[in-house]
Amino acid sequence: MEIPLESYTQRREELLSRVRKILIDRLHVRRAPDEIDPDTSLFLSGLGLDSVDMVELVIACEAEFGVRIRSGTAGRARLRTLNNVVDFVISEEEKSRGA
Amino acid sequence: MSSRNAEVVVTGAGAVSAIGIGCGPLLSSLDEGRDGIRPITRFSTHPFSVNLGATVPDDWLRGLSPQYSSDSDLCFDFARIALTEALWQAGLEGDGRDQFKTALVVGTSLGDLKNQHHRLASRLAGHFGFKGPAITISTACSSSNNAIGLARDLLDGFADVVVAGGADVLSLEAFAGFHALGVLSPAKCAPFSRPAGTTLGEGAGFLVLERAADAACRGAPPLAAVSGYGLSADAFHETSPDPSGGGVARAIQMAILDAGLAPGEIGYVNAHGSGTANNDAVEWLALQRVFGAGAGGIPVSSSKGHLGHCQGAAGVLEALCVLLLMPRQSVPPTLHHRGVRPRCPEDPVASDRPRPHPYRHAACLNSGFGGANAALILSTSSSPRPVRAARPVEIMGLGAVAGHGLNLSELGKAIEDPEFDQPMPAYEIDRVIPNVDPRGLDPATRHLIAAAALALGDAGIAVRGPLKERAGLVIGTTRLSSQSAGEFYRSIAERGPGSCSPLAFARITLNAPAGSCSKALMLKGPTSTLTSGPGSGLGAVLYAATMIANWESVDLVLAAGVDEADSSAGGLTEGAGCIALAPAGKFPVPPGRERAVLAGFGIAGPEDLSAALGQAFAMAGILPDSVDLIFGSADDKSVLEHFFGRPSQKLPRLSCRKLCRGDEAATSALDFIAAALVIRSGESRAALVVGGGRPCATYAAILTGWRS
Repeated sequence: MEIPLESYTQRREELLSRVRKILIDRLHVRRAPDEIDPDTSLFLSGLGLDSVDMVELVIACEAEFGVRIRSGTAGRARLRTLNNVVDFVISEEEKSRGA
Repeated sequence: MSSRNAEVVVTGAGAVSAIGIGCGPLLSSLDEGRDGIRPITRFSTHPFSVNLGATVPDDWLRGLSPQYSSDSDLCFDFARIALTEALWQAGLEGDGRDQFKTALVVGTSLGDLKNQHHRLASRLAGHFGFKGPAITISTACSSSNNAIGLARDLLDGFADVVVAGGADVLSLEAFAGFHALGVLSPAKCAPFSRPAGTTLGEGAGFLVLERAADAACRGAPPLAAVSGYGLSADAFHETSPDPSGGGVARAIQMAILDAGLAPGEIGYVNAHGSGTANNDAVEWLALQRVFGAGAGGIPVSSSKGHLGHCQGAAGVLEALCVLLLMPRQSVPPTLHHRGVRPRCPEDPVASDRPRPHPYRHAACLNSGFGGANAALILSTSSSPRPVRAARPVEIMGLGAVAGHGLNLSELGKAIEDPEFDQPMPAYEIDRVIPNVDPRGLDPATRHLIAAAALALGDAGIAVRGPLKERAGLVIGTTRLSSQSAGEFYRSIAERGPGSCSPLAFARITLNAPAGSCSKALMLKGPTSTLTSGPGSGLGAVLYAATMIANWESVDLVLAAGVDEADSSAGGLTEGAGCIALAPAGKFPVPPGRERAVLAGFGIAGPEDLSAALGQAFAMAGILPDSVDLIFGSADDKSVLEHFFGRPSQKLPRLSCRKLCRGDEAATSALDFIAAALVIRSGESRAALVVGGGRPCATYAAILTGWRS
């Protein structure tokens, strides 16, 4: 089933702001929400997160969105930017809706 | 001191672990290839993907201690039982000896969680009637290894018997934290083999340490000798080891040097071997760095297949495995080793039985969060320690962050202003030290890094090049950062134990601020974090001085006292004081300043100010008359009057209490700083700093000017 474009972009924006909030509240990223570009790398040259930060991000996103990301390192490796995280959450949501 | 560099032996040992209660069951489990790993029943493991732990079964304890209601009682009971056995084995269970000369050093990582870390030591000292200093070392999983090392140092004139070891409980919080970090193995811990991952454990172990001559004198047979130890900081990451292996290698090298040995004389290595992919590979790299081509010929095993990872008690329990087999000239195996994992030791003693192996010296390694590494050298018989003259310790730089702000000259004014009453001003850590990443630093860590950076600036010393590895950091503190602890417990409350915050968990070890500071300032030499309640900051200064006096491979040690206010715990002290110490004459002194040295110091029991003063004056070789000023808050007027022969009201006494709103760890470090300021300005010839007292330890330090 195709999701209408408008509700899809709305959902993306909502997820983006919630992940930004996690980055600021839980991972102590010292930036204003609108300063965190969705395409900035989460790692060294971007937000400077390390491996433990990524575990924190994964656990916090799982708790926030009720999706399972921990299933393998392959999943984590895809989470290079904020957009990746949002894409992943959306794809998991679609999968569970399909199932 | 006459007893300096004395040979130190172990005359008693006691153990509580998942394998059994007592050293006997520990030895038989090594002989029979039994482990203590079982499904956890103490709390529900439903939220987790792992359910194994090396837990002490509850019914064993009920037999010994009818009721306990919390982890705090469990931790105390583990320690009490192990300590009783150790004293009994040493033949010291009676009360015939000088209790004021009996010290206690407890290593613990998370302690009992509900109370401040030093409470366990003070409770144990009270239970056994020890009246010497009771000091707690908390460097995460290397705590008890470090504790045994400090015990050795205390036998250099501060105590006649030191009971040292560690205790930790496998609590829900510890399990949740390690689980969140993804380092728990789905199967029983199989160090250097498959699957990678660790199994958490718990328990307590204690050793009785004495000078070899004293043990011989009272006819106590030594089990082994503690011939040296070494400490180092990775200065790399909160939870991941330095991938180069350099951190672990430095601790081993320092221990070998301390023991006066050559690397080739080490016949066996009891590795940390936690079983995680990161740790095991790093450790093997480190061993190759130290032993070169010879590394492959040394048996390297880990006792965590038997005991699990007993956190703060790991070091002493694993050392015990070595101690028990050493007299038979065999080494403990690595249990559950089924197939080689790449980048692991060549000879992991893969077996379920001890292996006969001739050796005189064994190295026991442990590494903890915050990048704190410790190595201990145990030997079959004592051999003379290399005799070295104690190096005089110079006070090179001072840094203070408290109510006065960040400026040293304001501290001098504030301390003399009877009306002073100001809270610490807000400051940005990246303005004090531009290259530090402030993300996630709790207030305790920020204050520490700021004070340490200011002390280096004041000393005019840049830590770069080879100095990095020769520069250490010792912290005295009284409690965890309330911000980080709050974050951790909130994450459990909000998301459940299965999804607790790994970031916050990494910061709820007492040595987390030290780990971050080592990393920020590239201090890769020895590191330790101690606590003894009030006075801990001065305790850290004196431990740092001991390191400089004993270890020729150390050129600089920053010592600090730090506190973060926690109104819920009733502690309001906030601030940090840091002192840069170095061997006298090592670095040039900035112009316009007198050279100040730590001429003498004392470490004694909580109600034994007179012993602390006596030791300090004896070491300094001066009479109490020469002291012009007293700093600190020790309130035993009768003792001070006895020493100074005049009513204590007439002695000029100053305290930094009002600068940091309390009398905890930071206060005594600030008092030391205030004393150093008057010495180096030439206003005073000799100043005395006293700190601590009840419930753990009393410290005294004498500062004087120095001319080479």
